[in-house]
Parts: sequence; C-alpha cells; structure tokens
Amino acid sequence: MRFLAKTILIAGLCYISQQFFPWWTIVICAFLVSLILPTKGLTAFLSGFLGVGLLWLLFAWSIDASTDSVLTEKIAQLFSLNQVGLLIAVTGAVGGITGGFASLTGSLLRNINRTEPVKPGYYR
Amino acid sequence: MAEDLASADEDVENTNALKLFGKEALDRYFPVFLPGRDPVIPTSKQWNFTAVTIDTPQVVFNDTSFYTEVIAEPNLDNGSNNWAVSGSRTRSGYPLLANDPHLGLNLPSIWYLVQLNAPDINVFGAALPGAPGVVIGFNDSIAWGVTNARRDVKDWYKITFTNTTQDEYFFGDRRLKTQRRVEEIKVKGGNTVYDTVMYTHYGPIVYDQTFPVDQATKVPYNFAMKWVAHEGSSELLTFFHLNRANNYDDYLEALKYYRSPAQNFVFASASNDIALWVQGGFPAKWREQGRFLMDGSRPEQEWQVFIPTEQNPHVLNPERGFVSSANQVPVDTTYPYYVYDHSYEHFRNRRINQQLAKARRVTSESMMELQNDVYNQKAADVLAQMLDSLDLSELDPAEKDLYDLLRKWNLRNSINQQAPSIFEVWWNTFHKSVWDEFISEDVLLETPNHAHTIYLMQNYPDDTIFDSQVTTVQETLDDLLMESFLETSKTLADWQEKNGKDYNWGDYKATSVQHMLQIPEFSVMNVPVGGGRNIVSANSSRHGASWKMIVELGPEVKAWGVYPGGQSGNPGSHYYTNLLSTWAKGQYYPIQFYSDGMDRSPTIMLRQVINPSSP
Repeated sequence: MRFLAKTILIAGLCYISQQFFPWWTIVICAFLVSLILPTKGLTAFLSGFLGVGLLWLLFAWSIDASTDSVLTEKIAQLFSLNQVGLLIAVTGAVGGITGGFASLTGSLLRNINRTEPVKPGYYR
Repeated sequence: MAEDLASADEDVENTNALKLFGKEALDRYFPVFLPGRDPVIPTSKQWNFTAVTIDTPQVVFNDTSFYTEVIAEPNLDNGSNNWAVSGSRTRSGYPLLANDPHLGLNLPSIWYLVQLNAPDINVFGAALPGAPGVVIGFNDSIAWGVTNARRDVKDWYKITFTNTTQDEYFFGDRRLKTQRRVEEIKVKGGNTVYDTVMYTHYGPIVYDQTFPVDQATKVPYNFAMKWVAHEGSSELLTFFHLNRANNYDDYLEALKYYRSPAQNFVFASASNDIALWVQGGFPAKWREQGRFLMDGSRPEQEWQVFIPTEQNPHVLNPERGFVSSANQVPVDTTYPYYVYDHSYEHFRNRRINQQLAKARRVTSESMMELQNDVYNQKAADVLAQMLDSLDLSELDPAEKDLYDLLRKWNLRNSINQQAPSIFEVWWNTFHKSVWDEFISEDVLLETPNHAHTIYLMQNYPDDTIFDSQVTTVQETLDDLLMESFLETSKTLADWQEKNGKDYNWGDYKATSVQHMLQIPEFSVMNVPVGGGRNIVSANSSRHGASWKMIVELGPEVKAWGVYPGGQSGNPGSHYYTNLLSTWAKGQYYPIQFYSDGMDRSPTIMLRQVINPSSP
C-alpha cells in the first residue's frame, strides 16, 4: 500500500516540478519522498523507478503521438536507435534509473542513524 | 552578403599568369571580352550620355615574385536568374516577372516569406531573417527581383613604407600615415586573440608579417585591399522604398541608395513597364585597371572616380519585349566604360534569352516551365565536337554504350537519365587534364573557366596548351578527349560498383539540403531534382534555387512561389521541410496576397494579436 502511495506521490511531484524547474529536480522529489516515508531499500528503489520511469515513458509517448513523430524519428536516427518505440523506452529507462537511485538514496539516508530495536533474549 | 557575392577577385592569379605566360597567351586563355556573349542589356541599346573621362597612366608595376596562396574565395555557384516579360508578349496583356536566387541549399531555410501590411505599405515576398523588409517580392503595383551583378570591385595596392616602423607610406611625393586598429577575437575556452590590423587610405593591409603561413608559402605581403563594400552605404533604404514603390519612377528613386553587392534589379509594373538596372557602386576604370596587382605608391593607379549612377547599364521597355539576367556580362563592348570579371556566366543566360525570344502569349505556366528548364547549354555547345573527336574503333563495347547514350541524349539534365552523368564526368575530367599545368604548388593560378575552354577548343584547337605536361609524348586536343573519355568510363564503373546502383543523374548528382550543423538526421539527402551547374534550373549537389517566384501583374496581382524548406527553423516542426517535395517536383504554391478584409479570409489558420506595451 505504502509502495503504491509512494510511486504515485513521486510521479505526481515530479510532474509538477518539471513544469517549472529543470529535469534534474526529479532527483530531489524522489529523494525527499523516500526520506519522509520510510520503506525498505528495494521498495524505495522500485517506487522511484516506476514513478519517474512511467512518467517519462508516458510523456515521451504523448509528445511523439501529438507531433506525428516529426522530431522523435530524427532523434531516434541520431542515436542510432532507428525505432521511435525504442527511443521512448530508453527515455523511460533513463528516467527510471535516475528516479530509482534518488529514491533509494533518500531511504538509505533515513536509515543511516536509526538504531535497531533491541531484540528480546539477546545479550550484549 | 557582399563577402558572398562581390568579393571574388583574381588579381594575384592574373599577375602570376601574366609573368608566367606573357600578355598574349594570357589574353588567349582568359579573354577579357569573350566572343559570342549575350549581355544583360540588349546589344541594340544606345548609350546616350557622355562618359566621364579617365586618364590611363603609363605605368607598369614590376613585381617579380610569384605568389602561392591567397585568402579563400566565395563559391562561384552563388548566382541567380531573373526576367520580366512585357505585356505585349503575355496572354493577360500585363507583365510577368520571375526570379530564382541560387544559393547554398541549407536548413533552416535562408528565406522567410512575409506579407507586411500597414497604413502605407502592403508588400509580399522573401525576406532574410534578421533584416527588415522584403528583398525579393511584389506589391499590388510592382514586382522586382535580383541577381548578382558580378564585376571586379576589389583591387590590391602594394604599400611602400618609409621605414620599418611602418608608420608612414609613400603616395606620390607625399607621405601618408597608417592607422592601427586592434581587433579583439574572443575564443571559447581559450585566450582572447588580439590582432593588429593596419589601415591605409586604400583600405586594410590583409597580409602582414603575422599572417599565418609557413616558410614555403608566399602571400602578397603589404598589399592593401580596396573594395567597394568597405565604403559606407545604406542599401536597406533601397528595399524600404521598393517595398512601397508604385511605378518605375519610385523604383529608380529606391535604386539610388544601392551600392554593394551590385545586383541586376529586374522590374515590372501593373502600368506595363518592364526594366532592368545593373545597380551598384562601380569604379570607372581605365582598361585593365585592377586586373593585376597595382603599385600603391603611384597616385595615378588609384581609382579616380565612380561611374555616375545614371550611367550604370539599364534598359526600359526594350523592343524585344523582355529583360533578363543570369550573372552574365552586363553589356557589350559599346558601353563606354571598362567592364571586367573573371567568372561571367555564359550558358544559363543564353538559354533563357533564346527561350524568351521565341515565347508568345506567355503565361505563368510557361514561366514555371522556364524556371524548371534542364536544358544543358554547355553540352549543346561542345558535346558534338567532343564526340566527333573520338576514334570509335578503339572503344570496347562498354565504352561504345556510353558513346551511344551521349549521341542519343536529348541534352536535358533530367534525373532519370545516365547521359548527363557521363557528360559531366567526361567534361570535368577533360577540363582538369587540359589545365593540369596550371595546378602547381609554386605558383597560384586560376584555371580558365568552362566558357573559356570551349572558346579555345573551337578557335585554337592546335594550341600548345592541349599538350599535357604530365606525359612526354606530343599530344593533341583529340588525344586528350579520347583519354578523358576512357577515364570517364572507368570512373563511372567504379561509382556504380561502390554505390550499387546506376549513375542516373539524380543519384549521381545527389542534391542535398543540409542543416547548418551538417547533422544528417536534420538534413534531407538525395533530393530527386533535375538541373545542374550552368543550367537554368541550377540545382547542383549543394547549390540551387533557394526561392522561386513568379508574379503576374495586372488589376489584381497574382503570384506563385516555392522554396526548398519551410517557414520553421525547428527540426521538430511540420513546417521545417514541408515545401521541399513540391520544390523538387518543380511545382509551385499559389500565393495568398491579402489586400483589405484579410481578417475575414477563410484561409487564415492562426491569429496572433500583439499588444504593444500599454501606457
């Protein structure tokens, strides 16, 4: 449940911040969400990966569709990808990896000073 | 623009050639007045004025050294066609005007189409982004267009300094002071470069002791450049007034401001005038002044006076019923001033004039047909002689096939024929082998151009120049043609093997319209368009018709236009190259010229209201 909430929150915040700020503010958004809402490392990474990755994937796809691929075709050739679909997938992956690691960083920072609860029956 | 269109000069090359071959041979290889020319101003023109007298000095400049390098020259493919047909020869009874400037085929497009409509102006045409006003266009009363009017307007004067400080130089019995100006050139990621440029009253000294060349290279040190484009002028006023002109008198008034780069201004009006002025600032020169390097210490060698503007070559409503220009020589030898350039067009102009001379009841369609004409006038001039020279018994079957293709060729450079490719390769191979002795590292020389070469082939076929210097055997013109034909066969076979397809003209020429940054993905390669160098449809591999316009004047002006690109410079826009395929097919768009009530027109796609800052 918390995973889903985080994913949506990251996607939403990134969408808004990118309306006003440069692309790299997605790193700050994903990082802050994981800093505030604690989850395990893997969950944090996946929510960042999916939140930003899906956002970029959908956004790239909608730009491509609304422009009849005029520019995306040229950029796909420029990067030797040759297929617009591949270009969109790579765009999503780049956003996903960036968002995933930003989110993971936030989660790890939160956990860095946390003391493990004392487990019963354990002697120091 | 002046650098692109009016900066070519061959003074150093001519001086080298004069020293190497002597005057007699020089005039044979580079005739100042090539016979068979078809000038801009019809030869029937009478010059009803008294020319300014110019003193021809008795001075010879003894410069004994040979030069090996000069600064880069602009591309000679920069050229254009324009013409206007009088109402007496058109179906509508009103004049038709056509213009297509040939420039580098680049993206974003060079030209931007605009209609400017305000209280005292309503004009449509092609504008240069960044410069105000329409450069080639029309309004409801007149239409105008331009082609480059080449003439030697840049000369070089040897400066003799009084001493090594170079603060003063000799000018007759006077000593004049030099001026130094420091140019600051900022380099991205590097140190700023400061360059001291020395100025004389002629102009800047281009090659000084800091000119970056190695020991073996000889540049013309301490020569000052005198160039019309360095003098102040206000060409923009010409276009400002042309945009608002209503008749021939307004056109004349507008041209007064025009100095450089000199242009052939074609004109037509709804009041049934057609005209053409060769307009620019032209020094009145004595015969051959500035064809060679000159001595700057002799005041009598300096330009004395400019040709008065009203004596510039011009024609109004000529008897033949049309005016035209295609960068050829402006006048015949009856014009009372010396006119020289090393690269006058000799083919496109003759084809245009032949076609216009026989045209009757002209329509906009016949103007389009002429702009798209792919007839190869050069081949018409020389191919028969070339083919006749071949010894057919020495050709193998493949070479015989090439020969047959050329014999059967209709002389059109259309994209689906192989003959134009064969002729192009053969001619260029031959031209190179004829002038091989001009290509040397020790002396910089210009090679005689195609028109000069054909003139020599037809008038001096036994000249020693046709004896190749590479071989020791005595050779004739026929030998050279045969050798170059055999080489052509090999060149084309290699091309075919390398590219895996036939050398049809369209594929061989491979016209491309390229993005400024040379990014292939943002460029359009292999555009299927006919034509070529020295052909009316002047689309070579990287040069071509950058804007094609046809205007029919009358009670209601009509116009058609197209250009190889689009209105947007954004590679992500639909309008980046949306006009290109229409251009390549030789088709046109009818132009919407809005007079009153443009707000209500159903063809308006977008409306943008700009509110100037409120008080």
